[in-house]
Amino acid sequence: MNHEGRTTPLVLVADDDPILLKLATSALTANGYHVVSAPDGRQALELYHHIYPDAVVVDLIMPEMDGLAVCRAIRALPGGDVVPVLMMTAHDDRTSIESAFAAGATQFICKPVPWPVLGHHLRYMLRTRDAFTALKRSETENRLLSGQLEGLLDAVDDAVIIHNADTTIAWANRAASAIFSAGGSLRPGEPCPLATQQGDDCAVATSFATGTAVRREYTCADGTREIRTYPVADDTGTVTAVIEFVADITDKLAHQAETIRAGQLAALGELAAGVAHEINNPINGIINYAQLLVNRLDGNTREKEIAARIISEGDRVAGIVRGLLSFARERQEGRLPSLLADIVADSLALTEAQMRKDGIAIGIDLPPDLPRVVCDPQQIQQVVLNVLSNARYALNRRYVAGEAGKALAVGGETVERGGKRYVRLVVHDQGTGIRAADIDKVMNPFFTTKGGEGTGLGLSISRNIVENHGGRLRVQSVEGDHTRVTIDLPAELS
Amino acid sequence: MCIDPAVLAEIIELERQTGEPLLADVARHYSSNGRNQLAALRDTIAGGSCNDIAKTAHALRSSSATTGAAAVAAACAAIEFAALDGNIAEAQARLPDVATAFDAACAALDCILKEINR
Repeated sequence: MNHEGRTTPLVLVADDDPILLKLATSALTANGYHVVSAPDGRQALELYHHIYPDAVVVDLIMPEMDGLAVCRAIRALPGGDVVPVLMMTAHDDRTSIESAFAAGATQFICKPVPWPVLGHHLRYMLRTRDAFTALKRSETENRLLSGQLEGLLDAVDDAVIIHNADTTIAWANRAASAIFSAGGSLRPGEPCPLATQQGDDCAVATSFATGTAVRREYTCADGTREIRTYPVADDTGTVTAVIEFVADITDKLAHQAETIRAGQLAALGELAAGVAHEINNPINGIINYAQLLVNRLDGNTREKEIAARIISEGDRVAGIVRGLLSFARERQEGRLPSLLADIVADSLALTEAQMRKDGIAIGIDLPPDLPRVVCDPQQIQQVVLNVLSNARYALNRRYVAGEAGKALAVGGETVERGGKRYVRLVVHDQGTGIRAADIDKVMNPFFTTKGGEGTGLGLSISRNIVENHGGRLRVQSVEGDHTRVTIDLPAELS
Repeated sequence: MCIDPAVLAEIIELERQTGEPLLADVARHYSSNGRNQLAALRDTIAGGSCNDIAKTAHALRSSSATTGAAAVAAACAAIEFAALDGNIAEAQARLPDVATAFDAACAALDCILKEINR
């Protein structure tokens, strides 16, 4: 350890020759050094422990302990590795010089010592020590800073990879290792697995080649990822590294798609509302006129029966119109206490005709005493419509129209979970079912079992809606037998 | 000359820098202490080990080199190496060279001091 902050360098001089000690002390003092002297190696080492000199000038051959032993002892002390040690001797043979350097001497000087330049020797050695110490400090600081930076980048969810000029990995954060190395770690010098996935269109290679930032999207089994690469150039403009950020944008894309779909639905709803309004008035007129006929006709005549059918079909049309108006009604910010039975009825009003045409038998079992749920009725209706649409698709794939078993059941009950009451809606169809391998993926955005006929967003959006209401949506299925969708929504507090 | 002029010049330059009477101190110390070292060398050659002879010769060699008494330093080096080789007879044979060179060096230093003090 050196005493930093000392304004005048302190030099320890050790020699058994009093003449040399006097001359060395005079020469170094004249050059602005403080000097402490010792007549042998043992005393020199004792003094060293007390004064922590900035430099040591030591004779090679001394009684008690020679200069080589003193030098070795100093080098073994904490901080002693950087103290300049100048070894003096009357021996100028190669063996002595090699022994001095092997013991850790910084410099070697032969007697007679050139006194006027001794100070310069020491100044040079101290400057070298200072530069070395500053370099070590800087290296330590850099390591610390680098560690802090790595810590920051490790805290980021996105993958961050720094690439060498040959596109191998220079450094990768924890997220990158987790994503691309199956829980292992991406090691410096290894090729980047992401480059293999991207093939010829590799963003990193493009940034190296063009010196420009690049943005790419690619789809993999887990979803969609966005890659952004930024070149790092040296003073000559040569790209020496590329920093790559990889973000999972699957959810972001799903939200974008949901926003687009919501916009389309709003436009469609507006249109439907206009049409429904236009139909509503004439259909009421038709029903009223038919009712007049029924009232005027006596007995069970064929005409009276036809008029009654007109009323019945008119009521059905009015129900469809009500459903359309309900679905198309402008979205409300707040949630309302609603009966699931009403929402199901509105939803069925919109799909019943298609179901009937496809020969699907619908069974409804919703107890009248089901508690209300506080919800956005349009959103829950969107969920129910989506589930009914999936059931219809599965039934049509398994059965032809009117075939026995082509049935759909909608039921409801009150359940308790975690001390809370929920209203449970169950939609059970006897359609194709879902493969066991796919059951965990059906609610992932963009996953579909309908091939080109589906967007893969319906169940994902439905689950989001239900969970945003504090509820839960579950899908259970046996391939080739049935699918059961359970929607639990918190019951209104009584 | 029995004293190396280059070494002498460096001591005089140092004296000029520090203002201390270094040359006089060096000369006086070498004359008295060197004589003791020479006596010790003579004793060890007469009855000491090779290692002791080498050490004693080295001590006089070192102070002679520092003082500029190059001939004394060279003669002491010959004894030191002979002793390290285990050749005491050779060391003994070289001893008169050391004594002669030492007397000459002391005489030269004496002259220089007289010249300086004049």
